Order: sequence, then structure tokens, then C-alpha cells
Amino acid sequence: MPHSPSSDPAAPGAPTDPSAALSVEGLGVTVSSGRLTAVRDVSFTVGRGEAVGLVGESGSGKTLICRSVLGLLPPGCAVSEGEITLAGEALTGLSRREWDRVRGTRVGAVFQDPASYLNPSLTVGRQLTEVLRVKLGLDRARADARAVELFAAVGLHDPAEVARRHPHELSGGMLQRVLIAVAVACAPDLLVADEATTALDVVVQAEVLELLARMRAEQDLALLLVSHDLAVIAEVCDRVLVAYAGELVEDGPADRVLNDPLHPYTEALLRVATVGDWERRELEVIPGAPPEVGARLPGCRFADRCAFAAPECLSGPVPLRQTADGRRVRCVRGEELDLSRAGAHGTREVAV
Amino acid sequence: MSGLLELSGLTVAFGRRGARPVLDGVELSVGEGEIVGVIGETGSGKTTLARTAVGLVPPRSGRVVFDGREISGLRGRALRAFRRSGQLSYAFQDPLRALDPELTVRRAVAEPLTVAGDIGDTEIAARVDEALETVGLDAARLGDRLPGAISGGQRQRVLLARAIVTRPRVLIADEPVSALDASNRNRVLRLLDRLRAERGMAVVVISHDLSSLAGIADRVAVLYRGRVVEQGPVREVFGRPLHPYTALLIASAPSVRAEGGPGAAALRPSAEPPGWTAREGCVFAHRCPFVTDACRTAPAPAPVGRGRTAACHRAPEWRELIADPVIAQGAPETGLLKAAP
Repeated sequence: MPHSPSSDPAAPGAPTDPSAALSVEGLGVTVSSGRLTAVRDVSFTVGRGEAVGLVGESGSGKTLICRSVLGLLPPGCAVSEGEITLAGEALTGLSRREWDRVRGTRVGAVFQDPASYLNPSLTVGRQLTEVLRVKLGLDRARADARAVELFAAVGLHDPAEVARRHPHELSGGMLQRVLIAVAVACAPDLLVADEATTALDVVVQAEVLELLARMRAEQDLALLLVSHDLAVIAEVCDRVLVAYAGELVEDGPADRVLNDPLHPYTEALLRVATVGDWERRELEVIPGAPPEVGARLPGCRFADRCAFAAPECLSGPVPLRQTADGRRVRCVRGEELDLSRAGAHGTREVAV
Repeated sequence: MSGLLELSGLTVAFGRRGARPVLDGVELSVGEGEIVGVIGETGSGKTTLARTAVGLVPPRSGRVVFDGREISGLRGRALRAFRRSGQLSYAFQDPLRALDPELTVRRAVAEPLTVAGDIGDTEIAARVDEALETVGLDAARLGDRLPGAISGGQRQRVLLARAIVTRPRVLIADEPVSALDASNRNRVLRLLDRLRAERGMAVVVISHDLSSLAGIADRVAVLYRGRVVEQGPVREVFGRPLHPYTALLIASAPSVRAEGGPGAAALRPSAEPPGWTAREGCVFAHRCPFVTDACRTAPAPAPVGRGRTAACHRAPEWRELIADPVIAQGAPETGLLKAAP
């Protein structure tokens, strides 16, 4: 997927790509009431019908990025810089009322713990029809019929019966399907899934990931899938964004990023990821820990954990630059490193 | 086979008489210095298995034998004495809830020794520092913090320090890494492997997630609705599963090497569910694409090779019936059901 010039941080103020479902430009997010900058200089687009994965360790800022897109930052956190555009409409600076209109209709969301997003005292059918009646103005009978259709579309067996159940009567996988039905009820342009399958059993996780992929294909839905698990992203996404310490460090097509990473951090994530291999072996870890949120560092934020760090890595902030084949990487050494041989590939060849 | 920890015919049921048992005839043997994985989905009885093994839940029938001594029959003073000996220890799931929020790291780790009451304060302090150092935590920096003031990965390691401070011979760890990201997960798994190598400690890792066993487990038992449906060396069980549930589990696990493909779909039920109720017969029958009338009688775990059992009437012939040739052939050397690149 080629990038529009606007996603290049070297060209600030360029017009945003009107064909994108989501366009994020130079996003900065502060926490602790503006005292610390937790996310900086984040620019990316999600094309219509495209599935983009956002991956990073805990504390990488991936949840803040996706909460900014949803207008759901927790108290004390705020978008301090940048523009977020959803299918041509600027979202930054919307009032609460305007957000209520956008959220649920133009952008849907699914989170890790479905039970906590549903009202325990209402049937799940009622919670879906409420959305259909408030957002789409359907009458009761049409909303009821549409709810059953949507429950069937997300693969719930006996949808009319499920609609009459309360959340506590359904399993975690079924609740996540209910939430997906709610999220796509108004045919949004974008679905944001933040660790949506992390708490599910492996078998159910695979089913929900397949469902997301199917919804995307059938409804031309753009998908932003956020996960700490590269393996989950590898299953579903066309393109991968890698976040580290509040910045994007790599962006490229999934098969290229997974097989031939450009950033040493991506390579490290691949080394520790699940490869579906059960031989006894020495497991790899990424040494050290990510910097504290808001830490002021002179150069590359990954330098102190990086096996390839050189003096030039610390001389100044590292820009996210575009490579000849349209990928992006935040590394001064970039192509001079042969990561495919040094790490991921090597490990895999040994593993096979 | 006589292991250090032997569970035989273990059956546990809660609530009214006639309720479906939470564990049904579970057999598991853990030898010295061995790492055994117990894998199963939510509600399969994993945590009950761990709690029964350490004597927190009395079994309805069956035995738990530790180092030749039956502990499932212990009551009162004898049971307390055994638990306090700390030879068989249990690291609870969910460190945030298992750690007392008002106890500092050091006091939480010291607790199993202080309740035993036969060790002096100076030795306790030394053992606590040693345990924290073993799990890679800086006692001077973190020892006086409360659980709320440290990271999730650190809390998980505090829980492990607390479980190993008594120098157990067997450690049962319930979901020790499922809340951690990949790098921290590998760090904790490496620690368990090191404890096994250095102290000959046996470890039972209980998890819903196959990646929690990657690279360290010797053997694995697959639990489904209270029964061990398959058991054996990890490499063989995951490389060429002989129970359809194990195969579905492996095919569903995400992997950065995955090719996508029809793997899991070929193992999901396609036909109508069988005509009998879910209470009867094979526990997996209602989700099994290979179900036949014979499955109305529950299959017993049967030997299917050295140190390996599978509870399936149709093992191994069901493998021939899979439409996807990749699964049917199996790929023992890659350990993958999905097509390797």
C-alpha cells in the first residue's frame, strides 16, 4: 500500500488523503494533565477496507493512539497536537455532542473485556436495538428484526434466542460477537479493535478473528486492530504499524514487516513472538525495559535496548523516514542493517 | 510410572448430587525436574485440578500422592502441616488479586515462611532476598513497595518468588504468563526452566494459551470439560495430535508464521450435533466433526504410543477424514498444522 505524501512527517500541513477511511497526522498525546508527552509524531492512514495492525509492548502508547481516534481518552489525557480525519471529516476539536454522533455511526469499537461494556440488567438484544433506534431512527419492530439479522451476521446461533439473553448468560466469545454486532450496526467506515481477542480462549479467538476478517470483506470496513501479540496481527492484517515508547517505529505491508523487518525493535518482537513451534529451546527476551512515559531522551528511544545501537543513534531525534519501496522506518541505520539474517529469519530457520 | 506427584482417577464435583463433575477421572504424573503443561479452555477444570492437587479442594474420588504419600486424605492438623512444609507450592492466577494489597513485596514473599513458624527472622530475610533475586527482582529497590506500585510483569514474579521461597519440589503455576507481553512471558518461562535445571524442581504450568508452554514443557495434558482427552510429550501431541480437540486447538493458535488457510475451519463441526445430550458420551462429541454413534459411550484414555494417551474412539483414523491434506499428513518436525513457509 503506497503512502500518500501527507503521511510523511517531512511534509507537514499537506492535504490529507481524502480516499482514506482514517488519517492521523502528527498526533501527540499528553498524560498527567499535560505534564508528560506519551505519544508524539504519530502519522498513518487506514485505507477503505484495509486492515491495519498496531503492535507494541505494554506502555508503547498503542491504546492512547486508538483512544484518540475514538475520542475516548481517559481523564488527564489529551490530544496536544495533530489532526485526526475520519473519511474526510476532521475529528480533532469535536465537542462531546459531536463525538456522540460520530462514535457508533462512523467509527465502531470493540475492547478486551466485552462484559464491562454491556449493561448487565438489560438483554443484549435490547442493547443492540437501542443503538439502532437512537442512531438510525428505526422503529421498535424494524430495530428488533435488524438486531436478529445482525446477530446472525456475527455468527451467533439461534440469534432470536440470544437477543433475549442477559450478558451473564452468554460466554465471553458470544459477548464479543454481540459487541461486534453493536459496533458494526450503523455500517461505520472504521472498526477499532483494541486487544479484542486477548481474553478469549484460543479456539474462540480464531473464530472472532475470522469474523472480523469476514465483516471487513463483506462490508468494506476498515479495521484498526491493536494488539501486543504480533501473531494475532499476522493472522488478519494487510499492513502493520509498530509502536515503541509513544512513537511509530515501522510501517509496511504485513508480509514484508514480518519476514523482513527494517527496525531492530520489530526484529526483537518477532524473535519473542509465538512461532507455533514446541521444541525445547532457549527462549529469547528483549533486554531492558521501555523508557518511562514522557522520558526526555536525546536520540532513538530504543537505543539502550538495541543490539545495533551506534553513536549516531544518540545524536538527535530520529525521524520516521520513507524507504524507496514505500515503507517507513524510524532508524538511522535502516537498510544498512541486515535484520532478516541477523534475527527473525535466522531463528526461524533454526526452529524449522 | 511413579512420579513425584501422582494424580489418579481424580474426580471432583461441586453442588448437588448428580451434577456433571468438574474433573472426571484425571490421571497425571509429574516426575522430578519435569515441566508438564496442562492446557484447556475456560471452564475445562484447569484451576480445580491445581487446587485439588495442592489440597485446597477435596476430591470426590481418586488420589493425590506426593512423594509416595497420599495427601488427598489428609485432614485438619496433618493437612495444615503438609501445606506449611511448602514442598508442593501453588502460584495463584491473577497476581493483582492473589497478593494482599497492603503487604509490601518483602512481607508477601516472607509470608509462607512466617506461617510455618519454625524459621528465625534473619533466615527468613535472607531467604526472601534470595527468592527475589532468583526471579530477577531487585529486593533493595522493590522490596518495600506495595503490589499496586509495581508493573504486571513484576507482580507475576513476586507471586513466583512467594511460591518458591519454601524451596518446593513441585510448583504448580496457574496461568503464570497469560497476562504478560511476549518478552516478559519468555522471561518468566526462562525462569521456570532455570529453576527446574538448578533445583530439580518439577513445574506444572496451567494455561489456556499454547504459547505459555512454548519452548519449556516436556509433556502436556489437554483438558476438555474435566477430562484429559490427550496426554504425552509436547512435541508429539502438538506435532501430530490424536484427539480432534487438540488438533482444533493447535490449528486455532495464531502464529507469525501462519499462512492463514483452512486449518481450524476443517476441524469445526460441519454436520448436525449428535442426537444424544451433552451430558452423555464423549465430552467433545458435540463439537467434533468426526462424531459417530460409538461416541455415545465415553472413550477412556487409551495408550497410543510411548507415554502417550488419547481418549477418542476414532484415533487415529479421523485424521484420514480431514479435507485439508496439510493436517492429514501432519508435520511432526515443524510441529505445525498450518503449512510452513
